[in-house]
Amino acid sequence: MGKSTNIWFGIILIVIAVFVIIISLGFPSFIVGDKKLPGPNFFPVILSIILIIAGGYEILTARRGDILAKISTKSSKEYLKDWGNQNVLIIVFSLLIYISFISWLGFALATFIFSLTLMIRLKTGWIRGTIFSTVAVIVIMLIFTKIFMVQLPEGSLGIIFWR
Amino acid sequence: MTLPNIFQLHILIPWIISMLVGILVGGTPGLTATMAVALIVPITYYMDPLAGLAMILGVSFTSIFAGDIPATFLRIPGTPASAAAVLDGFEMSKKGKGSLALTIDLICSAIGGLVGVLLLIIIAPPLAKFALKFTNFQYFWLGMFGLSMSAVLSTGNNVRGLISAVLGLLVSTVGIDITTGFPRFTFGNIELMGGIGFIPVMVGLFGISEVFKNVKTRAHLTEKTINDKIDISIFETLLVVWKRKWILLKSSFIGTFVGALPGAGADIAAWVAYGIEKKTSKKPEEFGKGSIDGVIAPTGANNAALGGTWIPALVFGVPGDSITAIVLGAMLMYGLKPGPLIFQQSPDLVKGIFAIALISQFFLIPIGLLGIKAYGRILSLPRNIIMVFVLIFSVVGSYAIRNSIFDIYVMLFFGVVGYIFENLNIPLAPMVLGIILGPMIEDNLRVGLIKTGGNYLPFLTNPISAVLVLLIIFTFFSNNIINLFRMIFRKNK
Repeated sequence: MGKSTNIWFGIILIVIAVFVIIISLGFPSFIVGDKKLPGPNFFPVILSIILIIAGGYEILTARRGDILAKISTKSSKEYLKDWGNQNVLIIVFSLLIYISFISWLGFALATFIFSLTLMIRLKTGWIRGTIFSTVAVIVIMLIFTKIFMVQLPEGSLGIIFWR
Repeated sequence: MTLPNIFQLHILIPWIISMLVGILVGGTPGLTATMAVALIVPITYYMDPLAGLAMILGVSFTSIFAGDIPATFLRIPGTPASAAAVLDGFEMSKKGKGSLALTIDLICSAIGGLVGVLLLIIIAPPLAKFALKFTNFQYFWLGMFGLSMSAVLSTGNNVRGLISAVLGLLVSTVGIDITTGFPRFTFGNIELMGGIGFIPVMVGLFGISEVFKNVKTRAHLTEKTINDKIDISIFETLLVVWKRKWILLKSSFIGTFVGALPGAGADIAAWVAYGIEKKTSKKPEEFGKGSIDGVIAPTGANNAALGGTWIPALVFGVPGDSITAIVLGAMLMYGLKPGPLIFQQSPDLVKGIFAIALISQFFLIPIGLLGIKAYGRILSLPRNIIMVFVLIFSVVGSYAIRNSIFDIYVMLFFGVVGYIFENLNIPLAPMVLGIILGPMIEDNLRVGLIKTGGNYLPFLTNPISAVLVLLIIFTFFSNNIINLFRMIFRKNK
């Protein structure tokens, strides 16, 4: 499993590098007078070449057993059954939903729902979760909007909770 | 204006208040020292210039220190200058020594700041003259020297450190190309035109990935977030720092020097000092595992760099970083003209600035201790509450920099990247270094080549460049060079 992680990592690096080179080749040249000087693609292409070499090195060293990390051999089903792994995935997806809805719900409401949901999931309990989520929203609103004048998204509904 | 005048209430009160504000701003992820200064400046408009400058100086010194508080307790750098402090400070915190790490940090910040200001007073004109000798060629090598620190920061495997640094450099190329104005890797997205924000990347890489690690164990979640096992005595901490006085002094000198170079700032200074200290340490294997030396080097350097940034600002009117750029604007607003003539035209004001900068370092200690205590209290809550707070603050902090929802997605993306990289044992610090130094390296390389019509030779023919190149070679091969010298020395014996 370790070897294949190295190989996959090397392949991903090479794919990223090739992608960057392809895009960079579409950048305009930088010509002053009759001299072609380093243009916008100069630096990304150099970096991509280094990445290709490093990716190749990772693939080659996989044979020597210089592995990146001992990755668990669990199947994806077993991985998802683990409570901790579920937490990581739940946080990622709830953050995605939170970010998507924050402009519509407004900062106060979206943050309260996000905070309470995660606190309950992380075994804080309903009452403590509600209290701490409310405190978090109020403190952040005070610090950011009232003291530092940062305009947080009000949304269509958030306005009900804060003005 | 003489020294006692700065203790008048109309100066002293706003000065202390601004230092308290600095603790709040610097300690809040996403709110930078630059933002703190920018927020303070409009308030100072109708004030006495010295009171205004006292507020600006006070807020900048405390916010740079306060950035280290969440960096040490939660692994979220409060300001970019605190990113290097994460490495050993957080490891000490994991061992129940977070408050000790921060008290050491506080003393080093104050002493580093003191050294920076003293150097500003003593050698400002010659150092500023030397700093102005740096052209694109020297800045390119300085950036490369900073980047060579990634080899030092990647424990064990230099290739993976290189990969991480190159990926960071690639991230730094996103956005409008400064030389030609051409948008690169923006894919038509307006948000990407201004580049990928450093704060969301940093919060994601260090903070969010740490949250992911913390929520994996059920039992771990109900424990206190920080569990400091020892009572901190300021005098005992002073003794700890005294034993390492040369490290602190060296880092403070490095910080002041890097800070004095226009364009380089406290963030680069901290990384360079950390890298050099690790490279020259007798116990480099302890770095990144909770080494006190690893706390002293970056924290002494970042506050010393603040003094350094004032050198070109005061002497030539050239800002050393974004903070002094705002300060110069504020000084013009007060009717002052920074530059060589300020020493003749407003000698009392200059003396006042020096006095305030020096005394701020002494004020920093009690105010900083207050900050450590306050944050420590909040963070004694269980992890399942604090981790959610961290997520919310990370979201708001990433958003607040540019009022951009897109930056929150960037933070999440880099949080996942950081989590995967750490699981694969790929160091994150070189990537941060690549993002910080990318624009400096690329712009100076290309502008230098444009100046020379594509000729690379001038990059090597200047004595300053040659010294920097030698330093880079030494960074990579110092172990081999030292071993070689040892062999020769033994043979001769």
